[in-house]
Amino acid sequence: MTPEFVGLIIFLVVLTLMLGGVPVAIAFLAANMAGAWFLMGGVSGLVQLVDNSTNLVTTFTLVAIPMFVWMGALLFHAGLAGRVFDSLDLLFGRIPGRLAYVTVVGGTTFSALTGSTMANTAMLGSLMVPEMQRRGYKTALAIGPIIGTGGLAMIIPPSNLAVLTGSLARIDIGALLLAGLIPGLVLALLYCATIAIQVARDPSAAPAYDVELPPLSHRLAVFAVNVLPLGLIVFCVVGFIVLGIATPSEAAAFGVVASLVLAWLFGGLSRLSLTKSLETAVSVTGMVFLLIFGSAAFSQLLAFSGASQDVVAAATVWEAPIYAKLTLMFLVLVVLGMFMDQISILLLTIPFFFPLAGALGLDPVWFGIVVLLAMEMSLTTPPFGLLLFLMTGVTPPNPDGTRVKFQQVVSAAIPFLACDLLLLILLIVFPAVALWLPQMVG
Amino acid sequence: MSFLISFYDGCIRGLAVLAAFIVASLAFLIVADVTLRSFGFEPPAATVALTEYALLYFTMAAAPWLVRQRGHVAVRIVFDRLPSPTQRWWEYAIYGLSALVAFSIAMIAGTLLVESVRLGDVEQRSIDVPRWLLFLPLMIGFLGVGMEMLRFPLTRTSFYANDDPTGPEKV
Repeated sequence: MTPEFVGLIIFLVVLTLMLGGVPVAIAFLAANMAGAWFLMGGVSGLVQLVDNSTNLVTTFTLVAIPMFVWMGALLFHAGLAGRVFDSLDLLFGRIPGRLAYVTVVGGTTFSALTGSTMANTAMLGSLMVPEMQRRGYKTALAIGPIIGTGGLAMIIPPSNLAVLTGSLARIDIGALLLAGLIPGLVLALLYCATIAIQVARDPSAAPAYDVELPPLSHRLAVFAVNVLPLGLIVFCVVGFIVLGIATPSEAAAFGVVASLVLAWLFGGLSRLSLTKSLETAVSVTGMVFLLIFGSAAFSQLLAFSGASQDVVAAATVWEAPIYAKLTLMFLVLVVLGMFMDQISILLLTIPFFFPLAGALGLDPVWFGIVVLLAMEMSLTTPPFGLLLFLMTGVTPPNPDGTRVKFQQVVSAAIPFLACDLLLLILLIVFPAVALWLPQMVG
Repeated sequence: MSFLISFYDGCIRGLAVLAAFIVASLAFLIVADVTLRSFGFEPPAATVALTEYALLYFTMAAAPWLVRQRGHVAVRIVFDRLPSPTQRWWEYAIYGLSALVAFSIAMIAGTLLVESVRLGDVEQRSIDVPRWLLFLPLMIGFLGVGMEMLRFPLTRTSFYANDDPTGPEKV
C-alpha cells in the first residue's frame, strides 16, 4: 500500500465512522490509530501518535474558545440578553415590523457578545417567536429573521468557529475575527432591508398594534442604561485587539472579566448563573477540544501520507477558472453542512481546502470568511439545513392550533438565504469588505 | 460495590469541576498577566506555558463527564434511520469501538508515563515540566472515556437517547 492510498483509506474510515454515528472525536481517533499503524510502523507508530498528541491542544490561541463560550453563557444566564431585547423593543416604538427588526438588531448585538450560533438561535427563538405569534406576525416574518440572524454569530466577532478555523488552518486569528465584523454588519443590514421589503409588500405580515410609548428621552435612557454598557465587552474583545493591547486570546479573557463585572452591576451575578455558565463553557469547549485533539493528528497523518498534497496538486493542475474551483469548494461545504455539524466539516475539509486556497493565490483570511459564510448558509439550506429542523421543532403552534410546517420554515428562510448569497457575491467582487479592517489594523 | 460506584461517580464529577476551575482560573491568570505587562511590570514567564498545559488538563478532565452528559457530537443521519434491532447492535459496536480506542490510548499514555519517569524526561517551554505530567491527564481522561462508554450498555442507557434536556449547546 502506498502512503497516499493509506491516506485516502483513513479519510474514508473517518467519513464512514462519522456517518455511522460514532462520536466524531472517536471516529478521528480510531482513524488516526489505523493510519499510524500502517504509515508509521505498527505499535511504534501508535506510541509515536500518543507521544505527539500532548502538543495538539496545548496552544495558547485556543484559550479564546472557552473564554468566548463562558462570556456568552454568562450574559445569557445573568439575564443581560433579555435586557438588550426589552430596551430595543422600547426604542423601536411603533415602526411596522418592529419585532422582526428587534430580532435582527438584538441578535446581531448578542452575536457580538457570544460566539455560539445555537445559543443565539435558541435565545432568539425562545424570546421572540411567541411574542411575534401573539402579535399576529405571519410565519415568514416571525421565523425568517431568526433563522438568518442566528447564524451571524459564526461571522461577527467573537466567533468560536473563526478561532477554530484560524487555529486549524494556521492563519492569523485576530485578522480573521476582525475580518468578520464588516461582512456581519452588512449581512444584518441586508436582513433589515429584507424585512422592510416584506412588510412593504404585505403589511398584514406584521400587523400594527398599539403600544404604550414612553417619551423618547425615557426610551433613550433605558437604552443607554441596558445596552450601552455592553459596549464595554465589545471594546474589551475587539477594541483591545485593534489597539494592540492584547492578543485575541488575551482579549477574550478580558471579555470574561468585563461580563462578570457587568453581570454583577446589573444584579445578575449569582451562584446559579456562575455555575450554569461554567457548565456550558466546560460542555462546549470540552467537546470542541476533544475534536481538535482527534482531528489535528488526522491532518498531520494526511500530510504525512502525502494525500493532502496530492489533492491540492490535482486541483491545481485542473484547468478551470479560480472561481469555478472556489464555487466547487463552497458547494462542498454547503452540501456537507446539510448532513454534518459545522465543526466536523471544518475538521474534515481544512487540511485540503486551505492549502488549495493558498495554491490558488486566495487570501487565507478572506477565504476563512467565505468558509464561515458557507457554514452559515449550510445551516439554513433546504432540504437538510439543521436550523430549518430546529425551527420547525421549537416554533409553537400557529394561533389556529396547527403545527408550523417544514415547508413554511423553508419559505421563511429563502429570502434570508438570498441575503447570504448576495454577501458572498459582494465578498468576491469587493474582497475589501472583509480585508479592509484587518489590513488597516495591520 | 455501591461505595465503589459512588466513588467513581464522584471522580467523574470531580474531574468536571476541575475543568470548570481551570477555565475560571485561566481567565484571571491571563488578565493579571496582561495588566502587569500594560503597566510596565514584568509578568510571570510561566503564564503562557501554564495556560497551554492547563488546556490539556481541561480537555482530559472534561472528556469523561461529557460522555456521560452525551455531550460529544455525533452525526446521526444514518444511525437514526436504522431499524430498531440493527440500531441496538450497531450501538453496542460503537461503544465497543470507542472503549477500545480510549483504553488503547490510555494504556499507551500510561506506558509513556512510566518511561518518562524512568528517563527523567523534561518538556521545555517557558518553564520546564517533567514530561510524565503531560501523559498523566491523557491516561486518566481516556480511561474515563472508555469506562463511560462501557457504562451505557452496562446500565442499559444510551448515548443516543433524546431525553436529556440538559444537553450542552453546540457551537
